[in-house]
Amino acid sequence: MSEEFNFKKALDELKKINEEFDSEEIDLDEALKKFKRGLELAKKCKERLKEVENEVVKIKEKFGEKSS
Amino acid sequence: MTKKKQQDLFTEQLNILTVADYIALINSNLEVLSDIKVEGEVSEFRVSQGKWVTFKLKSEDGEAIIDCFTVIFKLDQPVEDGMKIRVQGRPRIYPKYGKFSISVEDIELAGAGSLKRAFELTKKKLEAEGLFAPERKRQIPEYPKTIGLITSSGAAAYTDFVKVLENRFGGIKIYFYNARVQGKGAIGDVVEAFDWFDLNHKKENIELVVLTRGGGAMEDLQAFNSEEIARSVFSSNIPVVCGVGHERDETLVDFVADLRASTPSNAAELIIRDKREVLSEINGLAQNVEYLIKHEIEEKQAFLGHFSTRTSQFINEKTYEMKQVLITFSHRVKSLSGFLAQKSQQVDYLINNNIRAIENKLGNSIQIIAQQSSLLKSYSPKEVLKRGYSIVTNKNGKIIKNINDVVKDEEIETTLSDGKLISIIKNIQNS
Repeated sequence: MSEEFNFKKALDELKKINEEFDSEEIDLDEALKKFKRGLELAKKCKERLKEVENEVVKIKEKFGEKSS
Repeated sequence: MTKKKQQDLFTEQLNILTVADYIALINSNLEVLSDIKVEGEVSEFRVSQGKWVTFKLKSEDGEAIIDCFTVIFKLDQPVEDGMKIRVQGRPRIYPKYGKFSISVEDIELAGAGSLKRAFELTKKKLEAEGLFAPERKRQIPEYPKTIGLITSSGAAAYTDFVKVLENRFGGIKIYFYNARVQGKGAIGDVVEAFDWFDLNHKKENIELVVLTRGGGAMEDLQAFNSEEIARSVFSSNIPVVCGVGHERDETLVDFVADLRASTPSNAAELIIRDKREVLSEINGLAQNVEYLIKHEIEEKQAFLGHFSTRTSQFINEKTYEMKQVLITFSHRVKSLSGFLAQKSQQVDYLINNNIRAIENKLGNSIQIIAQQSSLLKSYSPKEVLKRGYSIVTNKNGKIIKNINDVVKDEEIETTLSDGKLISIIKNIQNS
């Protein structure tokens, strides 16, 4: 997963493509490009959803410790 | 002086103290009572110069009373007359006036009534300042990648939150700030935690912070009703989600937070959607796009098929129409030439008719002219002369019509049918 990947942006773009397909008279060439992009975005989002664990970073162990 | 007498005098002198020393002695002996908490009801609560606080603490029956003194910054809860409180501080006699009082270090609200009252007072104050204003609430970022968490590591709230969050969505980095959420240290810990996030959120890309703890009695949740924590939440640089207590618990931080969750688990539910739900949405979107593009292609193919059929149909139709036009045209031409021939005959006939009519008319006219001409002939003077009449003219040829036209001896000319007579007028007579 690249660092630049932004789940929300990807999902929003996928939604936008979907809306455009739904509402507009689209040029077939353009539509094929968008279709390809949509599938790519869906794949990336699904990959992101495969991550199961969360990472916990503890800022301080005990009460009253000076935080870093 | 005996030895005994000397000893008595020394003892006596030792027991004699100045007033100041005596008060100082009492005060130093009272130090041991400094940890004791005294519970009572507040009366005559006053703040002077915005700094010095005095009140009386009295027993429930009003039979016992103690003066209390403190400074305003030591109050972390609003206090007013009638409230039941516990004070902890140094009991002492103030030397100058000889008055006994407690120099208060800490005040705790005692009993549900006082807590509720303090809650209402702080709520009113913060509300008036605009800390709860809906328009200042910030949007919680969707699908955050990095978040902050403030709670106690030992609390069920921590476990609940982390577990529910992981069950819903993975790959999230949680910066966990371990803070007491109950008791005296809670306010300081939580305020410090917010300070840490304010300082570090940019560096660590922390998008929001969750402040949470489980349910409890109003006394347990008191830190979350404190002005200090409420202000920390308000001034946080990143959006704050508060999930304090159980469904029905209501704390001041809930009002200030950008988003209020009812429990720690609910806080996790509110900050991110369940991945199964998101996955199903993504699948739906991808399938819909696929369906739409297939549909579009099929539609275009169908249109092309339809178009070619339509085109040949169109050409056939037009060819037929053209043929029909040509046939009709040739018929028209034929019928038109027939019509023309007919018309030409008609014209010939009319011309002939006219000529005949003109000829007839001419014939008649010739006859009339002949008649008229013979009639004219009969009117000729010569013809008249033949019948015995004559014309008399003077020398100038002027016809003489009466006697006044001539004079005596004038020469006149008389024209007859076969010649002329030249005469001289001899006499003129009236008839």
